Amino acid sequence: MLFEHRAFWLPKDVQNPNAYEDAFDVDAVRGMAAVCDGVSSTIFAGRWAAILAKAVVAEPPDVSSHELLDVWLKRTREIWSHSVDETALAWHQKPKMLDGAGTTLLWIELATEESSDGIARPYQLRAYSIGDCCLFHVRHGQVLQTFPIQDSARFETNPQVIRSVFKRGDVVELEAMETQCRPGDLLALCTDAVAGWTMRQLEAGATLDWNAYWDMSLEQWQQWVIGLRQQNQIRYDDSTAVLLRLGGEAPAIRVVDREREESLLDTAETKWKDAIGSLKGSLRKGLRELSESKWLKDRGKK
Amino acid sequence: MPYQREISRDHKACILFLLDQSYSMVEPLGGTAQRKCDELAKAVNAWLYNMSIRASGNEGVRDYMDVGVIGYRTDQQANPIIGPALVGPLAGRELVSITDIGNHPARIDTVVQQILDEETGEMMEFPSESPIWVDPVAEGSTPMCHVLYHAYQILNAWIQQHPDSFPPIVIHISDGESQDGDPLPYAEAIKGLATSDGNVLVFNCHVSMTPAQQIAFPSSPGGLPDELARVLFQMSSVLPETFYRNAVMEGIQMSPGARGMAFNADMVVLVKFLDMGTRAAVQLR
Repeated sequence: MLFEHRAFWLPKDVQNPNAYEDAFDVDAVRGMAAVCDGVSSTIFAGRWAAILAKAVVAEPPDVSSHELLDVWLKRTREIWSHSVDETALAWHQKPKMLDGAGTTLLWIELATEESSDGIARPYQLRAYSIGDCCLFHVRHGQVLQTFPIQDSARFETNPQVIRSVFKRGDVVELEAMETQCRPGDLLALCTDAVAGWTMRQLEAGATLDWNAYWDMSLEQWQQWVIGLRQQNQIRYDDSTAVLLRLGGEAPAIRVVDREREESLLDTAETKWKDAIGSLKGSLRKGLRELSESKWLKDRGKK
Repeated sequence: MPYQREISRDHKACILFLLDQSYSMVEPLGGTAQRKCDELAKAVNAWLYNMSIRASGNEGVRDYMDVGVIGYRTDQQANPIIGPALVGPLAGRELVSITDIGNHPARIDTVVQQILDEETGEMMEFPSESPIWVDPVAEGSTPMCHVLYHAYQILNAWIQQHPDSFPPIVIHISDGESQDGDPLPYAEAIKGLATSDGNVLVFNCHVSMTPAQQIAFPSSPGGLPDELARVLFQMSSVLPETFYRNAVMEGIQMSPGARGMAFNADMVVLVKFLDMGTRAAVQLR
Protein backbone atom coordinates (compact mmCIF):
# COMPACT_ATOMS: atom_id res chain seq x y z
CA MET A 1 0.00 0.00 0.00
CA LEU A 2 1.27 3.42 -0.87
CA PHE A 3 -0.85 5.15 1.72
CA GLU A 4 -3.36 4.79 4.50
CA HIS A 5 -6.55 6.73 4.09
CA ARG A 6 -9.49 8.16 5.99
CA ALA A 7 -12.68 9.26 4.23
CA PHE A 8 -15.08 11.76 5.77
CA TRP A 9 -18.37 12.83 4.28
CA LEU A 10 -21.57 14.56 5.28
CA PRO A 11 -24.64 15.14 3.09
CA LYS A 12 -25.99 18.64 2.69
CA ASP A 13 -29.29 17.42 4.04
CA VAL A 14 -28.39 15.36 7.08
CA GLN A 15 -31.88 13.84 7.18
CA ASN A 16 -31.59 12.65 3.60
CA PRO A 17 -28.24 10.93 3.03
CA ASN A 18 -29.52 9.55 -0.29
CA ALA A 19 -29.28 13.08 -1.64
CA TYR A 20 -25.49 13.13 -1.06
CA GLU A 21 -24.01 14.03 -4.45
CA ASP A 22 -20.29 14.13 -3.71
CA ALA A 23 -18.34 10.96 -4.40
CA PHE A 24 -14.90 9.54 -3.74
CA ASP A 25 -12.90 6.43 -4.49
CA VAL A 26 -9.50 5.19 -3.37
CA ASP A 27 -7.08 2.46 -4.43
CA ALA A 28 -4.20 2.51 -1.93
CA VAL A 29 -2.33 -0.33 -3.67
CA ARG A 30 -2.16 1.46 -7.02
CA GLY A 31 -1.79 4.91 -5.46
CA MET A 32 -5.02 6.36 -6.82
CA ALA A 33 -7.67 8.56 -5.22
CA ALA A 34 -10.44 10.81 -6.51
CA VAL A 35 -13.17 13.12 -5.25
CA CYS A 36 -16.10 14.55 -7.19
CA ASP A 37 -18.79 17.10 -6.40
CA GLY A 38 -22.00 16.56 -8.37
CA VAL A 39 -23.87 19.73 -9.27
CA SER A 40 -27.17 19.60 -7.39
CA SER A 41 -29.08 21.60 -9.97
CA THR A 42 -28.37 18.91 -12.58
CA ILE A 43 -30.07 15.54 -12.70
CA PHE A 44 -28.61 12.28 -11.42
CA ALA A 45 -25.52 14.24 -10.44
CA GLY A 46 -24.62 11.99 -7.52
CA ARG A 47 -24.71 8.98 -9.79
CA TRP A 48 -22.48 10.72 -12.35
CA ALA A 49 -20.04 11.81 -9.64
CA ALA A 50 -19.82 8.23 -8.34
CA ILE A 51 -19.36 6.77 -11.83
CA LEU A 52 -16.62 9.27 -12.65
CA ALA A 53 -14.73 8.82 -9.36
CA LYS A 54 -14.82 5.05 -9.72
CA ALA A 55 -13.81 5.15 -13.39
CA VAL A 56 -10.88 7.47 -12.89
CA VAL A 57 -9.47 5.37 -10.04
CA ALA A 58 -10.04 2.06 -11.86
CA GLU A 59 -8.62 3.24 -15.16
CA PRO A 60 -7.46 6.85 -15.34
CA PRO A 61 -7.73 8.53 -18.75
CA ASP A 62 -4.73 9.23 -20.89
CA VAL A 63 -4.64 13.00 -20.63
CA SER A 64 -1.90 13.47 -23.20
CA SER A 65 -4.44 14.31 -25.90
CA HIS A 66 -8.02 15.55 -26.13
CA GLU A 67 -8.87 12.65 -28.46
CA LEU A 68 -7.84 10.00 -25.93
CA LEU A 69 -9.60 11.84 -23.14
CA ASP A 70 -12.76 12.06 -25.28
CA VAL A 71 -12.72 8.31 -25.91
CA TRP A 72 -12.47 7.66 -22.18
CA LEU A 73 -15.22 10.17 -21.46
CA LYS A 74 -17.54 8.71 -24.08
CA ARG A 75 -17.22 5.28 -22.51
CA THR A 76 -17.84 6.68 -19.02
CA ARG A 77 -20.82 8.76 -20.16
CA GLU A 78 -22.43 5.66 -21.61
CA ILE A 79 -22.40 4.05 -18.17
CA TRP A 80 -24.37 7.04 -16.86
CA SER A 81 -26.88 7.19 -19.71
CA HIS A 82 -27.53 3.45 -19.55
CA SER A 83 -28.28 3.82 -15.84
CA VAL A 84 -31.26 6.13 -16.47
CA ASP A 85 -34.68 4.88 -17.50
CA GLU A 86 -35.91 7.91 -19.45
CA THR A 87 -39.39 6.47 -19.91
CA ALA A 88 -39.99 6.77 -16.17
CA LEU A 89 -39.07 10.45 -15.88
CA ALA A 90 -41.51 13.22 -14.86
CA TRP A 91 -42.06 16.31 -17.03
CA HIS A 92 -39.64 18.35 -14.93
CA GLN A 93 -36.89 15.73 -15.22
CA LYS A 94 -36.99 15.25 -18.98
CA PRO A 95 -35.60 18.69 -19.98
CA LYS A 96 -32.70 18.19 -17.59
CA MET A 97 -31.57 15.08 -19.44
CA LEU A 98 -30.61 17.28 -22.40
CA ASP A 99 -27.91 18.92 -20.29
CA GLY A 100 -27.15 15.81 -18.27
CA ALA A 101 -25.42 15.79 -14.93
CA GLY A 102 -22.38 17.87 -14.04
CA THR A 103 -19.58 17.23 -11.61
CA THR A 104 -16.23 18.62 -10.62
CA LEU A 105 -13.35 16.16 -10.39
CA LEU A 106 -9.97 15.93 -8.69
CA TRP A 107 -7.76 12.88 -8.81
CA ILE A 108 -4.23 11.99 -7.85
CA GLU A 109 -1.79 9.33 -9.02
CA LEU A 110 1.10 8.36 -6.77
CA ALA A 111 4.14 6.33 -7.75
CA THR A 112 7.29 5.34 -5.90
CA GLU A 113 10.30 3.09 -6.39
CA GLU A 114 10.56 -0.13 -4.48
CA SER A 115 12.71 0.31 -1.37
CA SER A 116 14.89 -2.67 -0.54
CA ASP A 117 17.37 -0.91 1.71
CA GLY A 118 14.98 0.61 4.25
CA ILE A 119 15.71 4.11 3.01
CA ALA A 120 12.60 6.10 2.20
CA ARG A 121 12.18 7.15 -1.41
CA PRO A 122 10.20 10.22 -2.52
CA TYR A 123 6.83 9.69 -4.12
CA GLN A 124 6.00 11.13 -7.50
CA LEU A 125 2.60 12.83 -7.29
CA ARG A 126 0.49 13.80 -10.26
CA ALA A 127 -2.82 15.58 -9.72
CA TYR A 128 -5.52 16.54 -12.21
CA SER A 129 -8.56 18.70 -11.70
CA ILE A 130 -11.53 20.31 -13.30
CA GLY A 131 -13.56 22.61 -11.08
CA ASP A 132 -13.17 23.54 -7.45
CA CYS A 133 -12.29 20.39 -5.56
CA CYS A 134 -8.94 21.05 -3.94
CA LEU A 135 -5.83 19.14 -2.88
CA PHE A 136 -3.85 20.17 0.21
CA HIS A 137 -0.30 18.81 0.45
CA VAL A 138 0.76 18.81 4.11
CA ARG A 139 4.15 18.07 5.67
CA HIS A 140 4.84 18.26 9.39
CA GLY A 141 1.50 20.00 9.85
CA GLN A 142 2.31 22.74 7.34
CA VAL A 143 0.52 23.11 4.02
CA LEU A 144 3.22 23.05 1.32
CA GLN A 145 0.90 23.67 -1.58
CA THR A 146 -2.69 23.57 -2.73
CA PHE A 147 -4.03 22.52 -6.10
CA PRO A 148 -5.68 23.79 -8.26
CA ILE A 149 -6.91 26.63 -6.07
CA GLN A 150 -4.71 29.08 -4.23
CA ASP A 151 -7.27 31.77 -3.41
CA SER A 152 -10.53 31.26 -1.50
CA ALA A 153 -12.27 33.81 -3.75
CA ARG A 154 -12.34 31.16 -6.47
CA PHE A 155 -14.83 29.15 -4.43
CA GLU A 156 -17.32 31.99 -4.91
CA THR A 157 -17.52 31.51 -8.67
CA ASN A 158 -19.29 28.79 -10.62
CA PRO A 159 -16.76 26.03 -11.29
CA GLN A 160 -16.10 24.24 -14.54
CA VAL A 161 -17.66 20.80 -14.61
CA ILE A 162 -17.61 17.61 -16.65
CA ARG A 163 -21.00 16.79 -18.07
CA SER A 164 -22.49 13.34 -18.40
CA VAL A 165 -23.58 14.20 -21.94
CA PHE A 166 -21.63 15.49 -24.90
CA LYS A 167 -22.31 19.17 -25.63
CA ARG A 168 -20.93 21.08 -28.52
CA GLY A 169 -18.65 23.81 -27.31
CA ASP A 170 -17.85 22.06 -24.04
CA VAL A 171 -14.11 21.67 -23.68
CA VAL A 172 -12.79 19.57 -20.82
CA GLU A 173 -9.72 21.52 -19.75
CA LEU A 174 -7.93 19.65 -17.00
CA GLU A 175 -5.50 21.47 -14.75
CA ALA A 176 -2.45 19.37 -13.91
CA MET A 177 0.28 19.43 -11.28
CA GLU A 178 3.31 17.27 -10.59
CA THR A 179 5.47 17.26 -7.49
CA GLN A 180 7.34 15.02 -5.07
CA CYS A 181 6.08 13.86 -1.72
CA ARG A 182 7.83 12.20 1.18
CA PRO A 183 6.74 9.35 3.37
CA GLY A 184 4.70 10.85 6.15
CA ASP A 185 3.23 13.60 4.00
CA LEU A 186 -0.51 14.05 4.19
CA LEU A 187 -2.68 14.66 1.12
CA ALA A 188 -6.19 15.99 1.66
CA LEU A 189 -8.63 15.82 -1.26
CA CYS A 190 -11.65 18.00 -0.47
CA THR A 191 -14.82 19.07 -2.22
CA ASP A 192 -15.52 22.78 -2.28
CA ALA A 193 -17.27 23.32 1.05
CA VAL A 194 -14.45 21.81 3.12
CA ALA A 195 -11.78 23.16 0.77
CA GLY A 196 -13.19 26.69 0.97
CA TRP A 197 -13.27 26.61 4.77
CA THR A 198 -9.72 25.23 4.90
CA MET A 199 -8.41 27.83 2.47
CA ARG A 200 -9.99 30.67 4.45
CA GLN A 201 -8.40 29.34 7.64
CA LEU A 202 -4.99 29.25 5.98
CA GLU A 203 -5.45 32.76 4.58
CA ALA A 204 -6.33 33.97 8.07
CA GLY A 205 -3.08 32.49 9.38
CA ALA A 206 -4.76 29.78 11.44
CA THR A 207 -2.83 26.63 12.31
CA LEU A 208 -4.76 23.50 11.41
CA ASP A 209 -4.30 20.34 13.43
CA TRP A 210 -4.25 17.81 10.61
CA ASN A 211 -3.40 14.98 13.01
CA ALA A 212 -6.58 15.70 14.92
CA TYR A 213 -8.65 15.46 11.72
CA TRP A 214 -6.98 12.14 10.94
CA ASP A 215 -7.82 10.78 14.36
CA MET A 216 -11.51 11.76 14.25
CA SER A 217 -14.17 9.13 13.85
CA LEU A 218 -16.58 9.75 10.97
CA GLU A 219 -19.27 10.73 13.47
CA GLN A 220 -16.97 13.22 15.23
CA TRP A 221 -16.04 14.76 11.91
CA GLN A 222 -19.69 15.04 10.88
CA GLN A 223 -20.58 16.73 14.16
CA TRP A 224 -17.69 19.13 13.69
CA VAL A 225 -18.92 20.10 10.20
CA ILE A 226 -22.50 20.46 11.46
CA GLY A 227 -21.14 22.85 14.09
CA LEU A 228 -19.34 24.88 11.41
CA ARG A 229 -22.59 25.03 9.43
CA GLN A 230 -24.49 26.29 12.44
CA GLN A 231 -21.91 29.04 12.86
CA ASN A 232 -22.15 29.91 9.15
CA GLN A 233 -18.44 29.19 8.80
CA ILE A 234 -18.77 26.59 6.08
CA ARG A 235 -20.86 26.43 2.96
CA TYR A 236 -24.09 24.52 3.49
CA ASP A 237 -23.33 21.82 0.97
CA ASP A 238 -22.35 18.18 0.67
CA SER A 239 -18.99 17.96 2.42
CA THR A 240 -16.22 15.49 1.70
CA ALA A 241 -12.57 15.12 2.69
CA VAL A 242 -10.35 12.14 1.84
CA LEU A 243 -7.07 12.11 3.75
CA LEU A 244 -4.12 10.05 2.52
CA ARG A 245 -1.10 9.45 4.72
CA LEU A 246 1.86 8.40 2.61
CA GLY A 247 4.15 5.64 3.75
CA GLY A 248 1.79 2.72 3.97
CA GLU A 249 1.46 1.31 7.40
CA ALA A 250 4.29 3.37 8.85
CA PRO A 251 2.51 6.15 10.77
CA ALA A 252 5.17 8.60 9.71
CA ILE A 253 3.07 11.67 10.39
CA ARG A 254 3.43 11.24 14.17
CA VAL A 255 6.16 13.21 15.88
CA VAL A 256 7.99 10.10 16.95
CA ASP A 257 7.81 8.71 13.41
CA ARG A 258 8.84 11.99 11.89
CA GLU A 259 11.97 11.79 14.02
CA ARG A 260 12.55 8.28 12.76
CA GLU A 261 12.07 9.45 9.21
CA GLU A 262 14.52 12.32 9.73
CA SER A 263 16.95 9.90 11.34
CA LEU A 264 16.72 7.57 8.35
CA LEU A 265 17.27 10.45 5.96
CA ASP A 266 20.24 11.64 8.04
CA THR A 267 21.69 8.13 8.02
CA ALA A 268 21.23 7.94 4.27
CA GLU A 269 22.92 11.31 3.83
CA THR A 270 25.83 10.30 6.07
CA LYS A 271 26.26 7.01 4.23
CA TRP A 272 26.14 8.80 0.92
CA LYS A 273 28.77 11.36 2.06
CA ASP A 274 30.94 8.58 3.47
CA ALA A 275 30.66 6.71 0.19
CA ILE A 276 31.64 9.82 -1.80
CA GLY A 277 34.51 10.49 0.63
CA SER A 278 35.67 6.93 0.32
CA LEU A 279 35.46 7.08 -3.46
CA LYS A 280 37.45 10.33 -3.53
CA GLY A 281 40.12 8.71 -1.29
CA SER A 282 40.34 5.72 -3.58
CA LEU A 283 40.65 7.93 -6.63
CA ARG A 284 43.38 10.06 -5.03
CA LYS A 285 45.31 6.92 -4.02
CA GLY A 286 44.93 5.46 -7.51
CA LEU A 287 46.13 8.65 -9.15
CA ARG A 288 49.10 8.87 -6.81
CA GLU A 289 50.08 5.27 -7.52
CA LEU A 290 49.63 5.86 -11.23
CA SER A 291 51.79 8.99 -11.22
CA GLU A 292 54.52 7.11 -9.37
CA SER A 293 54.26 4.00 -11.48
CA LYS A 294 57.23 2.77 -13.53
CA TRP A 295 54.97 2.38 -16.60
CA LEU A 296 54.04 6.08 -16.64
CA LYS A 297 57.69 7.18 -16.09
CA ASP A 298 58.83 4.91 -18.95
CA ARG A 299 56.03 6.24 -21.16
CA GLY A 300 57.09 9.83 -20.35
CA LYS A 301 60.69 9.10 -21.45
CA LYS A 302 59.45 7.93 -24.85
CA MET B 1 -23.39 39.88 6.96
CA PRO B 2 -27.00 39.57 5.74
CA TYR B 3 -28.28 37.61 2.72
CA GLN B 4 -25.72 34.83 3.14
CA ARG B 5 -27.97 31.96 4.18
CA GLU B 6 -27.73 29.03 1.80
CA ILE B 7 -31.02 27.61 0.63
CA SER B 8 -31.89 24.09 1.72
CA ARG B 9 -34.78 22.00 2.94
CA ASP B 10 -34.00 23.19 6.45
CA HIS B 11 -33.75 26.83 5.39
CA LYS B 12 -36.23 27.27 2.59
CA ALA B 13 -36.49 30.33 0.39
CA CYS B 14 -39.76 32.17 -0.14
CA ILE B 15 -40.70 34.02 -3.30
CA LEU B 16 -44.01 35.91 -3.38
CA PHE B 17 -45.37 37.29 -6.62
CA LEU B 18 -47.91 40.11 -6.55
CA LEU B 19 -49.60 40.38 -9.94
CA ASP B 20 -51.60 43.37 -11.11
CA GLN B 21 -54.82 41.95 -12.64
CA SER B 22 -56.50 45.29 -13.30
CA TYR B 23 -58.37 45.91 -16.56
CA SER B 24 -55.57 47.95 -18.10
CA MET B 25 -53.60 44.71 -18.33
CA VAL B 26 -55.52 43.90 -21.52
CA GLU B 27 -53.55 46.62 -23.29
CA PRO B 28 -50.61 45.48 -25.40
CA LEU B 29 -47.15 45.27 -23.88
CA GLY B 30 -44.75 47.92 -25.15
CA GLY B 31 -44.00 47.53 -28.84
CA THR B 32 -45.90 44.25 -29.30
CA ALA B 33 -49.41 43.03 -30.10
CA GLN B 34 -49.49 40.80 -27.02
CA ARG B 35 -51.69 41.70 -24.07
CA LYS B 36 -49.82 42.59 -20.89
CA CYS B 37 -51.82 40.06 -18.84
CA ASP B 38 -50.93 37.28 -21.32
CA GLU B 39 -47.25 38.17 -21.28
CA LEU B 40 -47.25 38.42 -17.49
CA ALA B 41 -48.86 34.98 -17.11
CA LYS B 42 -46.38 33.62 -19.64
CA ALA B 43 -43.43 35.09 -17.72
CA VAL B 44 -44.62 33.75 -14.35
CA ASN B 45 -45.39 30.30 -15.81
CA ALA B 46 -41.92 30.27 -17.38
CA TRP B 47 -40.36 31.20 -14.04
CA LEU B 48 -42.28 28.44 -12.22
CA TYR B 49 -41.30 26.00 -14.98
CA ASN B 50 -37.63 26.89 -14.63
CA MET B 51 -37.70 26.73 -10.85
CA SER B 52 -39.40 23.32 -10.90
CA ILE B 53 -36.78 22.02 -13.28
CA ARG B 54 -33.98 23.57 -11.25
CA ALA B 55 -35.29 21.89 -8.09
CA SER B 56 -35.89 18.62 -9.89
CA GLY B 57 -33.58 15.79 -8.98
CA ASN B 58 -33.40 12.04 -9.00
CA GLU B 59 -36.26 11.66 -6.57
CA GLY B 60 -38.56 14.40 -7.82
CA VAL B 61 -38.75 18.10 -7.05
CA ARG B 62 -36.76 18.99 -3.93
CA ASP B 63 -38.61 21.05 -1.38
CA TYR B 64 -36.35 24.05 -0.90
CA MET B 65 -38.66 26.93 -1.69
CA ASP B 66 -42.16 28.21 -0.99
CA VAL B 67 -43.85 30.18 -3.73
CA GLY B 68 -46.90 32.38 -3.64
CA VAL B 69 -48.68 34.03 -6.56
CA ILE B 70 -51.20 36.63 -5.40
CA GLY B 71 -53.35 38.51 -7.87
CA TYR B 72 -55.06 41.83 -7.17
CA ARG B 73 -57.88 43.72 -8.84
CA THR B 74 -61.36 45.05 -7.97
CA ASP B 75 -64.83 43.79 -8.83
CA GLN B 76 -67.56 45.82 -10.52
CA GLN B 77 -68.47 47.40 -7.19
CA ALA B 78 -64.83 48.47 -6.72
CA ASN B 79 -64.30 45.95 -3.92
CA PRO B 80 -60.74 44.66 -3.80
CA ILE B 81 -60.21 41.09 -4.94
CA ILE B 82 -56.97 39.90 -3.39
CA GLY B 83 -56.14 36.22 -3.55
CA PRO B 84 -54.11 33.33 -4.88
CA ALA B 85 -53.72 33.36 -8.64
CA LEU B 86 -52.70 29.71 -9.00
CA VAL B 87 -55.22 27.61 -10.88
CA GLY B 88 -55.84 23.87 -11.01
CA PRO B 89 -55.10 21.62 -8.03
CA LEU B 90 -53.26 24.43 -6.21
CA ALA B 91 -56.07 26.98 -6.55
CA GLY B 92 -56.82 28.83 -3.33
CA ARG B 93 -53.42 28.26 -1.73
CA GLU B 94 -51.36 31.32 -0.91
CA LEU B 95 -47.99 29.68 -0.42
CA VAL B 96 -47.07 26.29 -1.85
CA SER B 97 -43.81 24.38 -1.93
CA ILE B 98 -41.91 24.17 -5.17
CA THR B 99 -42.46 20.41 -4.86
CA ASP B 100 -46.21 20.95 -5.12
CA ILE B 101 -45.67 23.40 -7.97
CA GLY B 102 -43.70 20.77 -9.88
CA ASN B 103 -46.12 17.96 -9.15
CA HIS B 104 -49.40 19.79 -9.65
CA PRO B 105 -49.58 22.10 -12.65
CA ALA B 106 -53.12 22.99 -13.72
CA ARG B 107 -52.46 21.41 -17.08
CA ILE B 108 -49.59 20.52 -19.35
CA ASP B 109 -49.63 21.84 -22.91
CA THR B 110 -47.39 20.35 -25.55
CA VAL B 111 -45.24 22.70 -27.58
CA VAL B 112 -42.64 22.03 -30.25
CA GLN B 113 -39.18 23.30 -29.45
CA GLN B 114 -36.23 23.72 -31.77
CA ILE B 115 -33.27 21.99 -30.19
CA LEU B 116 -29.68 21.60 -31.34
CA ASP B 117 -28.65 18.01 -32.03
CA GLU B 118 -25.32 17.92 -30.24
CA GLU B 119 -23.99 15.06 -32.36
CA THR B 120 -24.83 16.45 -35.81
CA GLY B 121 -24.97 20.17 -35.03
CA GLU B 122 -28.35 20.48 -36.77
CA MET B 123 -31.55 21.91 -35.34
CA MET B 124 -34.31 19.41 -34.77
CA GLU B 125 -37.91 19.65 -33.57
CA PHE B 126 -38.51 18.28 -30.14
CA PRO B 127 -41.94 17.91 -28.47
CA SER B 128 -41.78 19.61 -25.11
CA GLU B 129 -44.19 19.74 -22.20
CA SER B 130 -45.27 23.22 -21.13
CA PRO B 131 -47.05 23.23 -17.76
CA ILE B 132 -49.44 26.03 -16.76
CA TRP B 133 -50.12 27.30 -13.25
CA VAL B 134 -51.35 30.85 -13.85
CA ASP B 135 -53.92 32.12 -16.36
CA PRO B 136 -54.25 35.75 -17.49
CA VAL B 137 -56.83 37.89 -15.67
CA ALA B 138 -57.75 41.56 -16.30
CA GLU B 139 -60.56 43.26 -14.42
CA GLY B 140 -61.27 46.39 -12.39
CA SER B 141 -58.70 48.72 -10.88
CA THR B 142 -55.43 48.52 -8.94
CA PRO B 143 -55.83 48.08 -5.14
CA MET B 144 -52.08 48.11 -4.52
CA CYS B 145 -52.23 49.00 -0.81
CA HIS B 146 -54.57 46.10 -0.15
CA VAL B 147 -52.30 43.57 -1.81
CA LEU B 148 -49.22 44.90 -0.01
CA TYR B 149 -51.02 44.59 3.32
CA HIS B 150 -52.06 41.05 2.39
CA ALA B 151 -48.47 40.22 1.47
CA TYR B 152 -47.30 41.58 4.83
CA GLN B 153 -49.60 39.14 6.65
CA ILE B 154 -48.50 36.15 4.56
CA LEU B 155 -44.81 36.90 5.04
CA ASN B 156 -45.10 37.73 8.72
CA ALA B 157 -46.57 34.27 9.30
CA TRP B 158 -43.94 32.60 7.10
CA ILE B 159 -41.10 34.28 8.96
CA GLN B 160 -42.44 33.02 12.29
CA GLN B 161 -41.99 29.51 10.92
CA HIS B 162 -38.66 30.17 9.18
CA PRO B 163 -36.82 32.69 11.37
CA ASP B 164 -33.35 31.76 10.12
CA SER B 165 -34.04 31.40 6.40
CA PHE B 166 -32.91 33.65 3.60
CA PRO B 167 -35.48 36.47 3.82
CA PRO B 168 -38.50 36.33 1.52
CA ILE B 169 -38.43 38.14 -1.80
CA VAL B 170 -41.50 39.97 -3.08
CA ILE B 171 -41.79 40.46 -6.82
CA HIS B 172 -44.48 43.00 -7.55
CA ILE B 173 -45.52 43.50 -11.17
CA SER B 174 -47.91 46.28 -12.12
CA ASP B 175 -48.73 48.55 -15.03
CA GLY B 176 -49.88 51.60 -13.14
CA GLU B 177 -50.26 53.54 -9.97
CA SER B 178 -52.08 52.55 -6.83
CA GLN B 179 -55.78 53.36 -6.79
CA ASP B 180 -56.40 52.80 -3.11
CA GLY B 181 -53.90 55.17 -1.50
CA ASP B 182 -50.18 55.69 -0.99
CA PRO B 183 -48.50 52.26 -1.24
CA LEU B 184 -45.18 53.42 0.21
CA PRO B 185 -45.97 52.86 3.94
CA TYR B 186 -47.23 49.38 3.12
CA ALA B 187 -44.09 48.56 1.16
CA GLU B 188 -41.96 49.94 4.01
CA ALA B 189 -43.80 47.70 6.48
CA ILE B 190 -42.98 44.64 4.36
CA LYS B 191 -39.35 45.72 4.05
CA GLY B 192 -39.31 46.04 7.84
CA LEU B 193 -39.99 42.32 8.25
CA ALA B 194 -36.81 40.29 8.71
CA THR B 195 -35.32 36.89 9.35
CA SER B 196 -31.97 36.52 11.11
CA ASP B 197 -30.43 36.72 7.63
CA GLY B 198 -31.79 40.12 6.65
CA ASN B 199 -34.86 42.13 5.77
CA VAL B 200 -37.53 41.11 3.31
CA LEU B 201 -36.68 42.30 -0.20
CA VAL B 202 -39.31 44.08 -2.28
CA PHE B 203 -38.70 44.37 -6.00
CA ASN B 204 -41.07 46.27 -8.30
CA CYS B 205 -41.48 45.88 -12.03
CA HIS B 206 -43.60 48.32 -14.02
CA VAL B 207 -44.77 47.04 -17.41
CA SER B 208 -45.78 49.56 -20.03
CA MET B 209 -48.01 49.84 -23.08
CA THR B 210 -45.74 52.40 -24.72
CA PRO B 211 -42.26 51.51 -25.89
CA ALA B 212 -40.80 54.32 -23.81
CA GLN B 213 -37.32 54.44 -22.35
CA GLN B 214 -36.77 51.39 -20.18
CA ILE B 215 -35.12 51.76 -16.82
CA ALA B 216 -33.78 48.78 -14.90
CA PHE B 217 -32.08 48.67 -11.51
CA PRO B 218 -31.60 52.44 -11.01
CA SER B 219 -29.41 53.57 -8.11
CA SER B 220 -30.94 57.03 -7.66
CA PRO B 221 -34.33 58.66 -8.32
CA GLY B 222 -32.68 61.32 -10.46
CA GLY B 223 -33.61 60.79 -14.10
CA LEU B 224 -36.79 58.86 -13.34
CA PRO B 225 -39.51 60.22 -15.64
CA ASP B 226 -42.49 60.75 -13.32
CA GLU B 227 -43.95 60.45 -9.84
CA LEU B 228 -45.06 56.83 -10.35
CA ALA B 229 -41.49 55.83 -11.13
CA ARG B 230 -40.19 57.71 -8.10
CA VAL B 231 -42.74 55.98 -5.82
CA LEU B 232 -41.76 52.57 -7.18
CA PHE B 233 -38.12 53.49 -6.62
CA GLN B 234 -38.79 54.27 -2.98
CA MET B 235 -40.82 51.09 -2.56
CA SER B 236 -37.97 48.96 -3.90
CA SER B 237 -35.16 47.42 -1.85
CA VAL B 238 -31.50 48.06 -2.55
CA LEU B 239 -30.06 44.95 -4.19
CA PRO B 240 -27.94 42.98 -1.69
CA GLU B 241 -24.28 42.55 -2.52
CA THR B 242 -24.72 38.98 -3.81
CA PHE B 243 -27.48 40.05 -6.23
CA TYR B 244 -25.46 43.05 -7.38
CA ARG B 245 -22.32 40.96 -7.94
CA ASN B 246 -24.23 38.32 -9.92
CA ALA B 247 -25.84 40.95 -12.12
CA VAL B 248 -22.59 42.78 -12.83
CA MET B 249 -20.84 39.49 -13.60
CA GLU B 250 -23.53 38.80 -16.18
CA GLY B 251 -22.89 42.13 -17.84
CA ILE B 252 -25.96 43.98 -16.57
CA GLN B 253 -25.23 47.68 -16.28
CA MET B 254 -25.83 48.96 -12.77
CA SER B 255 -24.19 51.02 -10.07
CA PRO B 256 -23.66 50.31 -6.38
CA GLY B 257 -26.87 51.02 -4.50
CA ALA B 258 -28.98 49.77 -7.41
CA ARG B 259 -32.57 49.02 -6.48
CA GLY B 260 -34.72 46.08 -7.50
CA MET B 261 -36.89 48.08 -9.83
CA ALA B 262 -37.70 48.18 -13.54
CA PHE B 263 -39.78 50.81 -15.30
CA ASN B 264 -41.45 50.62 -18.71
CA ALA B 265 -40.34 47.01 -18.93
CA ASP B 266 -41.04 44.92 -22.01
CA MET B 267 -41.07 41.11 -22.00
CA VAL B 268 -37.28 40.85 -22.25
CA VAL B 269 -36.72 43.16 -19.28
CA LEU B 270 -39.52 41.48 -17.32
CA VAL B 271 -38.00 38.02 -17.71
CA LYS B 272 -34.54 39.33 -16.89
CA PHE B 273 -35.97 41.12 -13.86
CA LEU B 274 -37.57 37.92 -12.55
CA ASP B 275 -34.37 36.03 -13.12
CA MET B 276 -32.04 38.56 -11.49
CA GLY B 277 -34.45 39.30 -8.66
CA THR B 278 -34.55 35.70 -7.54
CA ARG B 279 -31.24 34.29 -8.73
CA ALA B 280 -29.21 34.58 -5.53
CA ALA B 281 -32.01 33.06 -3.49
CA VAL B 282 -32.47 30.02 -5.70
CA GLN B 283 -28.85 29.12 -6.26
CA LEU B 284 -28.32 25.44 -5.87
CA ARG B 285 -25.09 23.62 -6.39
